[in-house]
Amino acid sequence: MLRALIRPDQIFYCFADCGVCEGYCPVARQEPTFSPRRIVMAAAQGNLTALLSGDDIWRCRSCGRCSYHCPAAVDFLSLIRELREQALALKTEAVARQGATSKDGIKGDGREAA
Amino acid sequence: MGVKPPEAAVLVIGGGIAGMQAAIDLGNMGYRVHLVERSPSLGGRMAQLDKTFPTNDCAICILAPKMRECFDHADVTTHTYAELVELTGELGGFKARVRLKPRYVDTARCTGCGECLFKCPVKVPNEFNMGLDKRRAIYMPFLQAVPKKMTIDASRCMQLTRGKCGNCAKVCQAGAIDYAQREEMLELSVAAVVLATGFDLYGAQALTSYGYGRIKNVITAMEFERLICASGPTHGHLERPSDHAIPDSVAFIQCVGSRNMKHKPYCSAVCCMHATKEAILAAEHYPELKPYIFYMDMRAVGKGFFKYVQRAQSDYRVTYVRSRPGEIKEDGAGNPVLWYEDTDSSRVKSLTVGLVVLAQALLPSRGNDALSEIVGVPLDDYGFFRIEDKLLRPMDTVRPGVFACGFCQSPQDIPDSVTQASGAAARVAEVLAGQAGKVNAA
Amino acid sequence: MNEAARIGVFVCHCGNNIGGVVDVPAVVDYARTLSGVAHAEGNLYTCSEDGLGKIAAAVGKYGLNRVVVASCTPRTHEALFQSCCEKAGVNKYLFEFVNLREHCSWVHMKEPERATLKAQALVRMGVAKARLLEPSAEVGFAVRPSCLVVGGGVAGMTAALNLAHQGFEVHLVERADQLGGKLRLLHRLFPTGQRASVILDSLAAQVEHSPNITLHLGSELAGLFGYIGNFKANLRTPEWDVELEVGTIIIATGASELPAAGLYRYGDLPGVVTQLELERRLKESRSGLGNVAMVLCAGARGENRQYCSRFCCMNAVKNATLLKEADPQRAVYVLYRDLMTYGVEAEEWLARSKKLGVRYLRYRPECPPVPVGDGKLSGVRVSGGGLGADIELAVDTLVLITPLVANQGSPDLARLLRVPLIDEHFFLEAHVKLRPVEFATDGIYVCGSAKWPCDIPESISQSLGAAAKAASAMGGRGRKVEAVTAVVDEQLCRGCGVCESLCPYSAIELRAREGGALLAAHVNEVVCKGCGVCGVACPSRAITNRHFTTDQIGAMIEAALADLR
Repeated sequence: MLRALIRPDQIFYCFADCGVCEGYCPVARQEPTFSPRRIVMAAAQGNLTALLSGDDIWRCRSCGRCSYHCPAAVDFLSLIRELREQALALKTEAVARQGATSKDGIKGDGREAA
Repeated sequence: MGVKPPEAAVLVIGGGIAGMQAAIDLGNMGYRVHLVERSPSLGGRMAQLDKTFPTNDCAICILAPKMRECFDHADVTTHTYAELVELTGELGGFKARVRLKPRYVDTARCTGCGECLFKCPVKVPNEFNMGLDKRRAIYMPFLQAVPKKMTIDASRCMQLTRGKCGNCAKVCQAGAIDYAQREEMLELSVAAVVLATGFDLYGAQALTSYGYGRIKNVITAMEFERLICASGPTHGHLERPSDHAIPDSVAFIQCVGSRNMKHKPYCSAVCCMHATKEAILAAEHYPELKPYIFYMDMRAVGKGFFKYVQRAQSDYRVTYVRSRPGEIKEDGAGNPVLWYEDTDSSRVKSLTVGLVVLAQALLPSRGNDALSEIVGVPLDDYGFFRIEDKLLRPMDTVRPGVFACGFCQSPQDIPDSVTQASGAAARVAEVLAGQAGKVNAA
Repeated sequence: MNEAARIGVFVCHCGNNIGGVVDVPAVVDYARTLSGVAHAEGNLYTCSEDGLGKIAAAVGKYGLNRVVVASCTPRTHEALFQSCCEKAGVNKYLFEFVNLREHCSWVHMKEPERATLKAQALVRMGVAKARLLEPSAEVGFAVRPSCLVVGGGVAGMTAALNLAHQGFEVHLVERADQLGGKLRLLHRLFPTGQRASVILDSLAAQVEHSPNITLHLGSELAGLFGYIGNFKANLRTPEWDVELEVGTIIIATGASELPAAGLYRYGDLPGVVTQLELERRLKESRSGLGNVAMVLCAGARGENRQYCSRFCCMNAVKNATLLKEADPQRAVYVLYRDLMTYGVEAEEWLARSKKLGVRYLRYRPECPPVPVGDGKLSGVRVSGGGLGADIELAVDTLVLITPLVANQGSPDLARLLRVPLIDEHFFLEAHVKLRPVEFATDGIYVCGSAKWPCDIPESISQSLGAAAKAASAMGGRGRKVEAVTAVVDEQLCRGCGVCESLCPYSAIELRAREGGALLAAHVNEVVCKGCGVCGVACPSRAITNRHFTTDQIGAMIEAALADLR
């Protein structure tokens, strides 16, 4: 059901062994466990529960560097927004923890959504 | 029942390894062959390589005998510094017009001694060495060029553009310089055409994150090839551009432009192997040097290729890292710094190396655009000559009587190109046999 | 030698290459003092039109019957000078090349005086040999315009048809009772998706109807004798033994799928199948495959088989796509180590398969996937591969994608043909880069998976390549043998057989002498490459290596050492 919301061609082209996204990601440089590649892979596998209830999807600053350089043209920003939308609808603990109110990211994050 | 030698001529476009092989095979089968090569010499890209995988044969050592065999073949007429400008007619009866560009050198007199080089005042970037050094306006593309004749680059020659200089003519003991030479047009009647125009290199500066053009010590694979080659601009010393020092480590990055939806979605097929080869050469030249190869899939599919990769790891200290780096920055000493994800641990890491070598995407020859119009063979989305039936007739283009072999029709290495060249020759023979009675005499 | 030598010596300046180091006029003067030299001159560039003209003119004017050119390397210009001699009326084997560039000026650039002395010595050696040179005629030989193609799969059929259409006679030998090889077992083919059965029917019909092709089904090659142009092949057919005389041979015997016994609980757990079994089920459009996982590199790229079977990844991608197209609800997983979808089409199929929902999961070679199930397959556990945690996939079918391995009969066939195999028992071509479809032995060619695993388009390219080589041998303008071969003096030969055992080209055979039972060695000029091994080894000095005789080499050595006396 949730998978149906994520259009297959958005993320399924992901090369999986690539990691350009993470090589560029400013968040990943600071937070060792944050991996845009793992997020895409998990979403592609349909393992959404852990993703939606976790904090990772709120860590993304929406800078867009990953998408800009992704050789598989994965639209990471759209993916994150959809995941956030679902998380908000489910009112996960992470939502409460992060004080998230919008799929555009955390207020006061210093960055506007792309 | 015997088979008479065919009374027909065939046109081969491209004098690299594939074109030469097709010409030799067609000549051996008894066809009269006209081989047209755009540059002043036979040899193509293979002449620029140092060694070839997986045997590590010296490229020019195995290429030169082929160049001579082709050039000396009784049934092959080689036209270098020439281009096809028109092709009309059809299978069995094509008419080709070939422009023989003026070299401004009388090839009957020139012996390739090279005296003129010392006196030519003009220096321009040397294409053969990927612009890493200079050549003169009068030049031979490389020392083992076939034919061994000089050529004057008209656009750079002071005498031809401004009427000043004439040094080469004054020095030439054979009296071979001829500033008044004109182009000639050749009219050929041929029964079939084989395209073998090879490949060009994608501009690595398009991948801005890798810093080519911005960071001095980020170079391309072909530039590396010329640096490591004894006949190259540094005589085989791997001197990195910023300070001419030998790097203590080299990172080879695969799929630069290839397997990329925003650049070239296809796989260039040979880069995994040539990077392995280059890493081995670097380690061989410098026992302390540490090579790394950053890749997604290690495409070692041919005969002996997997063992070659294993040897690179066991005998030459090559570290294979499964990751496509994100960005490359530079530290204060000109060393490239790679930021990449270690895909096993999913952690971001950085690696500082002395030199980065980008495996740039390979494209079908840029000349294919114009040639496609002339020969009436469309190109596919990526610029390769379109093959009618990729399963059963892999060398037949959509135009009857016109065949294509080697990289100009799909990414492939030297053995596959040579195989396709011979295969194209067989197809020419098969198709022309079916045209008996309708074929123009040579 | 029944005429007095009148040797012409032409010493080349080669611009500055030689002349800049060696005192060429001094070498010319020296040459004039040598016995047998009727004329000597220096040229600026002997290889130029001008230089060649001077040779021809001198031959006429001075009645020269031997020519020595002292210039660069024979690799570039030997053929040129030989041709010049022939045109001037001097047999090409009366020409000798002395290298004053690579052997002298280029390596002694800093010592011009000593270089000049060496150049004189080299010329002295060349003249010493030239005195003893003999004219020779080159033997032409005919190659029977018929080809034996061994193997009736796609490669064999393609080569046979190509040659038949060119007008050659072809004998196509196939071990099975039907044509087709692996095509019989495949469903749809990469990269066009066409049905294998349609392709097969079309090719088989063409072969059967071709007037130039004689088809021998259910037959095997049982013996082979002879050499290029003149092979005698013994076939064992179901009815009787047949002897064929052919000029060339093409090997297209294909390869076999590695049996999956012992891998991933194959045979043990229902639901675990091989790739060919999957192809058969797809052909028969049997449903019941359920959710499918494919394991690539099953039994490949490991200790026992250190190679990649080249086309399996694209075949898996193709089949995964077909499975998804047939039933979009079904889950399809491809478990890989490296995805070898090289080139253009394979990457396109990969992208399309991903769009359809095929999932690709990498596994580490140290932790291969583990089939799970009790009584029958229920899933497969995959670990690592950049995912972090282990994952268990619920599947009903596990396809083991095993590599191609050489046919069991390859060693026997190789022995019969006297051609080499690599460790993995695939055939070894003459040169991996530049002679990919030929053997070192003239007249025998190889293509397809018998040489190395390949897909169908590659197999076809190779078979056409082999056909081109065979056609060149059989057609063209005839072939000649260089007269640099070995000759046996039967009077001196004792029939010991050492030469036969050493010849790398199998060019020598012991046979009965005329009118006698005693054996003597006989050299097949067509096959002999003039390597000289036999001449050196012969204990009776019965073998002469033409153009490099013991007397000639001996004279050169004496000449070289002359200034030490």
